[in-house]
Amino acid sequence: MKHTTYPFLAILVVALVFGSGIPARAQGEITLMAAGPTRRPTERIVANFQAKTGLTVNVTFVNGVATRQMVARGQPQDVSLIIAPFPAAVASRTIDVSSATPVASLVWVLAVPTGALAPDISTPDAVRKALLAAKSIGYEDPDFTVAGQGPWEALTTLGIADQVAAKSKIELGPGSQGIDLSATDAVVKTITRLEDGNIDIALHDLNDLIANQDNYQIVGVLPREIATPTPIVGFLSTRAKDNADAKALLQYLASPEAQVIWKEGGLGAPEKWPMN
Amino acid sequence: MTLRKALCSAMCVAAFVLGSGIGAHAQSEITLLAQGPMRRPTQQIVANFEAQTRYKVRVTYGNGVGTRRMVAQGQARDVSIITAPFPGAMASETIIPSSATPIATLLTALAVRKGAPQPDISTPAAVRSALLAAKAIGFEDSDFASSGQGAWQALNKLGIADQILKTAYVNCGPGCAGISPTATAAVKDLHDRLADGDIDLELNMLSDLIVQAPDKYDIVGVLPREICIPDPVVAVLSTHARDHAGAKALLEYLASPEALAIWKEAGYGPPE
Repeated sequence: MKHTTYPFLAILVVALVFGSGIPARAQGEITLMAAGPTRRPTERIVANFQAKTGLTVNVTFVNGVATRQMVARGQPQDVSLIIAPFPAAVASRTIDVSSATPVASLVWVLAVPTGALAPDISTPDAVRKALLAAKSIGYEDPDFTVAGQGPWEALTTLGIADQVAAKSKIELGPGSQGIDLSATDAVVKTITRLEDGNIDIALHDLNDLIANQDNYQIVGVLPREIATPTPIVGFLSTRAKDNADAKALLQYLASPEAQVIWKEGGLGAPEKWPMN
Repeated sequence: MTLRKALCSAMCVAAFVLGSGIGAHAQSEITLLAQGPMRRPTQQIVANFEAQTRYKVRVTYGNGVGTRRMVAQGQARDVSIITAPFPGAMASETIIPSSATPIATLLTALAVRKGAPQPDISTPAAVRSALLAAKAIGFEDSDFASSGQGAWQALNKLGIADQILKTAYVNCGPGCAGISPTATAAVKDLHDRLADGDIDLELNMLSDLIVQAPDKYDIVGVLPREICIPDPVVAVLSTHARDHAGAKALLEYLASPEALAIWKEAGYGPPE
């Protein structure tokens, strides 16, 4: 009796291990698209998710604007984290709009060089005064990078975009690739200008500044009235909308556990989407 | 003596003509960066400028968003025509910001299928009602095309952007190049969607609607300014123009009353 039981149990165990392992590889691999600037927290959250579930997540990192452009052009992953606004992505019919899950947001801050006097930015009017008083300001071009969206919104909402244009130093972000420094001044990074003290004020997303925050002073978050946090929203692709593993990943990306990591990475709380 | 004089005169004339000709050719070519959707009026204006001056204009066309990106990336021409907003271009130090000369504006209009009833769009509230009542609307994505800027601005100012997106069709414009229509709904042309009944209303630039496929739609009118401020189209001089005077002459001509008449005829608004 004992002799027959052991081989049976051994076969059962082998079947269970291989049996569960094979489908886990075949069905359990999920693809995720995320924005490059959110790489650190994304990698930590994904690692935690993989450890908890045994599932494998293949992450594609692209720049922030590209997240929505790739989806619009028909290249979503099972789960795509895209940065608003994303009209063509939503209307592309390649993602399931009902799956929209806000996971975090880009928060807009004002920073000054180390040792500089930190201006009052507690109200829109105070920010306006600080920007007009500065000798030079730096931010990124929203045509090339999402890091420029908040600064541009702030400057246009305050009605001073044209007024500060002459003293603005603009960075092209990923648009600078392959361009020689002698071709355009817009190749120089805003963060470098800030570290070198070549600008008085930088307007930026917090998560890009937080890693090297000892190299400058982050004065604080811009008032919401002039720079609304930009939603980062997760969507299931239409092909993966019934995929339980992809759904689980999307839910985990918005979980309280993930929120702690997003926050440590300099990202804000999820913003309601759709907003209206 | 007479023969010698005649030969001398002939040589002088030849030297003058050839000399001035060579000099004129070397100095007289001006480069212009213009926008593809503005090609027809640009060609007409440039032809008039060339006919009235000794200058030859070599035009490079990019798409609306592409031209300001090119300038920001250091590829300005002697004169560049760019559509706002253009912070990267202005700060690139490849153009002279003080030379910025508004020449026209982009107007956003609403169109319906040929023969369909035309909604009231005389006020923001009327536009809002028309858009919400439509089965679906179509517009271009401002990430890819400047023609989407006005539509997106209007939808946001009306506070219905996300609401509209649930049924809307948004086209990627030049971003669609090389993409299969089966890959994404963002590829199919908006005029075709209107004609095929996928959408009831199309928001697009008046200048595009005037020329692209007028047999497929009726243009209802331009959106009210309160919800859609016309986008300025501005000409700027390069910091590296070889013939500064010539480039300046072209820039001034692009904003001249003669040119304004051509821009207007093509569906562009007056300079802002």
